[in-house]
Amino acid sequence: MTSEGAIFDLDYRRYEGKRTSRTAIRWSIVRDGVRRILGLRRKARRKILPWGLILIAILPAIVNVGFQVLAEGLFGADEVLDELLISHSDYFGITFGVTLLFVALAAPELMIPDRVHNVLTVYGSRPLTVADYLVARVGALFILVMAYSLLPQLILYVGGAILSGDAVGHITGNLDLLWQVPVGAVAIFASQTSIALIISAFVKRVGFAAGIYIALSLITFPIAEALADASSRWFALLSLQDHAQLLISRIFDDPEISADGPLAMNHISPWASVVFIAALAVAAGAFLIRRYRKLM
Amino acid sequence: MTTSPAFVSNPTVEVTELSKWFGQKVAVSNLSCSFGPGITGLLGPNGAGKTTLLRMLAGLTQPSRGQLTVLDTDPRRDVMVFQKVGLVPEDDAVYEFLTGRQYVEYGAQLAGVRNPAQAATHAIGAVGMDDAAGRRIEGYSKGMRQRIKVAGALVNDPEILYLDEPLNGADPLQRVRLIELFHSLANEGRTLIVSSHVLAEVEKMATRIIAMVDGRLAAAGDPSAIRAAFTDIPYRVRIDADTPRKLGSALLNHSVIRSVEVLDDILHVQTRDLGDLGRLLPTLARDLDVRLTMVQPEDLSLESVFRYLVHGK
Repeated sequence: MTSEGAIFDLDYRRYEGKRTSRTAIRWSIVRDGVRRILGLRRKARRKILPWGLILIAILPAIVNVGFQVLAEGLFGADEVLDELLISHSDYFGITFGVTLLFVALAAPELMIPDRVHNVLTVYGSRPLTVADYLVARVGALFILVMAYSLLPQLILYVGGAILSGDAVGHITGNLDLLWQVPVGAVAIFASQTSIALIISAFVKRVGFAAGIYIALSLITFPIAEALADASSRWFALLSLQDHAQLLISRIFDDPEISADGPLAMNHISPWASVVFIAALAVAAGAFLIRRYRKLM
Repeated sequence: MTTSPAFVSNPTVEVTELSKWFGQKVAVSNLSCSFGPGITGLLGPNGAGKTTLLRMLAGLTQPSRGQLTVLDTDPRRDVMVFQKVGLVPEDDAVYEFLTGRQYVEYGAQLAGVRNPAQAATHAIGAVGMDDAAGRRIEGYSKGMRQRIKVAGALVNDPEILYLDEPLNGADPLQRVRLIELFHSLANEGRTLIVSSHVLAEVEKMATRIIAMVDGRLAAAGDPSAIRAAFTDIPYRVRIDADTPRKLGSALLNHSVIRSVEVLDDILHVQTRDLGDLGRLLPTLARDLDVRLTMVQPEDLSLESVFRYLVHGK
């Protein structure tokens, strides 16, 4: 027997509870976005990619800390370095590629289903503006990209404190990390998500959008390099994946991180990079509002 | 105070000189009317502007010109008024990967309901989906999807409910139950605006009609009053009698009758005045010794009214 012939409860009971604020409504969209990207409430196969990428991001940190803790146990503290093999700035460099993949997956997964399932009408008919919806969606992306960048850094930080044998001394001795790491994560978010969101506002398939974004990120590197060589050095700004590396190299004062990129090669100031990223973010925001005003 | 049937005395939704155009195409043109508690049927052929009007009322499309107020509030200035509004869109508009309960609960959160689980339980119960609420929507039939959409629209206890083709895909039993549900909601004093192509169902639901043709208000009021307003189109009446030809010949001698036709021993007459015909028939039948078994107007139905509105015949 199916439920098709069920008896309806015609005594509809009115909801007499309290109503929440618009801020709470926005947060419910943020929570939905976080769940969506992580594949929560979805079938197991939808969890493989996001959680696999998270595992890949944190694995080197776990191995690094674990290896040194293990070595200290085996050979004694005097025989092992009391600092980590991978520095915080190096770790950003190691995870650039995998963070790119995470953004390539997360932004389309966040934006595309609402369009293709026609669910934007549900948002549009609720006490929300287009800006509310977009801010909440981008907020979910911000939370996850920040967490994705910060989680392995946190593992390194805690591991470093354990290895040093003096947690307080480790913290006081590395106070700069408390601003460098979060600002580095913000630089990654700001430089990588604008284009991903624009693509996700058009393309109908998540995989296709992710592919376009990855291809665009990769192809702009040689194109920017060639244009900068042939014409103005400012064309180096077009190298999308290079901005985060340049900014992190300056934040950590470690030129090696971005030494091979078109931005560093063409002596582009990090402030020019910041202005470029900000302009791209403003343009993406304006574009998304215009696009979603038509859709919602 | 206006007495036009396009307006109600206690409006919850009002539109004034409302227009919407997309490029060169005018979807809604200078529409002025109001809606109040009870069920109002929104009728019109494809492209009449019904869905555009509903989308404007639901905040999904901005008007090009004119004013609209929902519960005395301009929704463009205060979107919080949508806490008291529900929409069942014509499109599927569901996340297929969520369960029915998750979808309805999320709708409650989006509407600012503080206890979404409790509200979802009530709304799911109201549409008889308790048993299937734990299953993913991707496994639902079209009728079940329709009901979960109705639950999603009811979950915030709306004072105003917009229903765009709400019975699509529902089986006959579900249709009856949903219509009963809509009646019970209307009896509680809520405003329901129902757009549907299935005129027989609108007839069962709505006590008032707003008809649109080419984006304009074509008619408003109850169907029989709208029909009566077509003074240039005669009423068609079916008369079952034992000797239809004899009665038909006699009727032709009276000015109240415009034409007479006998098809399969059934007499069909056209008259300008149903009242005059009603007074004439018993007398004539008695004088001619004709036995009448049934007299029934054939074009008082909503379908006939709609046909006259759209095609003028």
